[in-house]
Amino acid sequence: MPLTNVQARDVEAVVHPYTPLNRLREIGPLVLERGRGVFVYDTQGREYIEGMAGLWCAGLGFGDEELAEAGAEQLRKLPYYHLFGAKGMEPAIELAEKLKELAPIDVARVFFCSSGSEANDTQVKLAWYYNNALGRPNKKKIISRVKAYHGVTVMTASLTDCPTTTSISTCRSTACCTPTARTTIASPSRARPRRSSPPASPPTFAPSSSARGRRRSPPSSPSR
Amino acid sequence: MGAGGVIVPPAGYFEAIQPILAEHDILFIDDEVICGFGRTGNWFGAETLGMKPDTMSVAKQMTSAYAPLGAVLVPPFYYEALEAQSAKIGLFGHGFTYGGHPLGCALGVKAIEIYQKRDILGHVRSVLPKFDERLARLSGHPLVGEVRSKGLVAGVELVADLASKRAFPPKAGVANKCMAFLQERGAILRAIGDTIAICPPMVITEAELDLLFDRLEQALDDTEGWVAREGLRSA
Repeated sequence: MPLTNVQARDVEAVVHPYTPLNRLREIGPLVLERGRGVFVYDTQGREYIEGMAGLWCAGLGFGDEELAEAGAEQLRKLPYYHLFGAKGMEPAIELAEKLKELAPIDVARVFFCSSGSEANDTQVKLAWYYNNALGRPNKKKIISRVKAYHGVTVMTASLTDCPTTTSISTCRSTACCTPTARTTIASPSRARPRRSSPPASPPTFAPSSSARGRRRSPPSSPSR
Repeated sequence: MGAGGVIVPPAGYFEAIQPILAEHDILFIDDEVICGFGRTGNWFGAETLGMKPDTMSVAKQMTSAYAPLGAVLVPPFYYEALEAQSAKIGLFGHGFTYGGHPLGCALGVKAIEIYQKRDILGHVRSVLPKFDERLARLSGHPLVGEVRSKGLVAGVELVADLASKRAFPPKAGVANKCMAFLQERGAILRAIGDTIAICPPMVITEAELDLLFDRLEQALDDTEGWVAREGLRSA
């Protein structure tokens, strides 16, 4: 079928993720215009029932007026600010409080970013930072699982076991990004610091006794 | 695991691995990007699967996707370390221009308020019998080798041979072809390899689930006809 005008404009202007780009002209992009409930509508007015919540995310469906209005209201009041250099704003405070209340784990603070990829990328930084603070600079290995998907940044793609994702963005050649996706939980020794390397600097921090009370110290005998 | 093809851990999986993590002092990071905010019928997948993680990543349904936003839930022992390192280095040197954007955060606050006041978790639980019933019906289809689900998210894996679970040649793109047929029939799902992912908006009704699965069954029949015409089983 020949492309519509808007489809032709799309293929000449937009890079589509996770799409066979060599076949885009032939398959034609589905250009969507609006949504209501669990339905979305293309530029020709055709209706589709949307069974993926977009990318596993539009939990309330499309076109929820109450939610949209909350966004519009915030845009009129304070459309942008950030949290750098000890700045703050009410929506971030309120959401962080909500998350602390809802989470099934003990949450001290909430770090905000823009996506799940950035959240998981930050997780790796924090785990390293934490171990640095503890004087364990060599405890850097991350275990993820076969078929895992944790994002598309260089680091989170390294934790993702999906050939089409890792082929574009995993830096397998450097020491920091050894392929981890196939390191399974069955070989925990790969996740432990090398016993022969002493800490590069003394710990700057020791966890308070209550903070990680349920964790034991690393065992003194080598792992199985 | 979601985008890897909706792999559901067997019962007792996390109960079994958590003592090993504790024994070796391995932090447990819980990626709740897909399962968070009601997807499995609880606020978080951790509650559904018996996970006791140290920290969690959240995004996606936190704002119902009306604006981009992610977050890391920082436990006390982490935050103590961040404070200690700031004392040593001078500050915490990490952050994103749009991290905590007021639009995303305002939408997050409102989305959670809506999840609570409209009892979206209760709604998810109430439509699960219908979702599971329609998934079970797919198991009888000649293309469907396995159906996996937890809460309102599922993976339907297509195979060339039901008995041996032999896969189609990847280049045949059988699940992608099925998605093209499905789109012609007025529905959108997503192929991951030969697995069809199903993860509808949590507000979906039983009647809408019937409509979605009716169209999926038709698309599977279309695909079965195409597979036979192209002789893909013999490959």
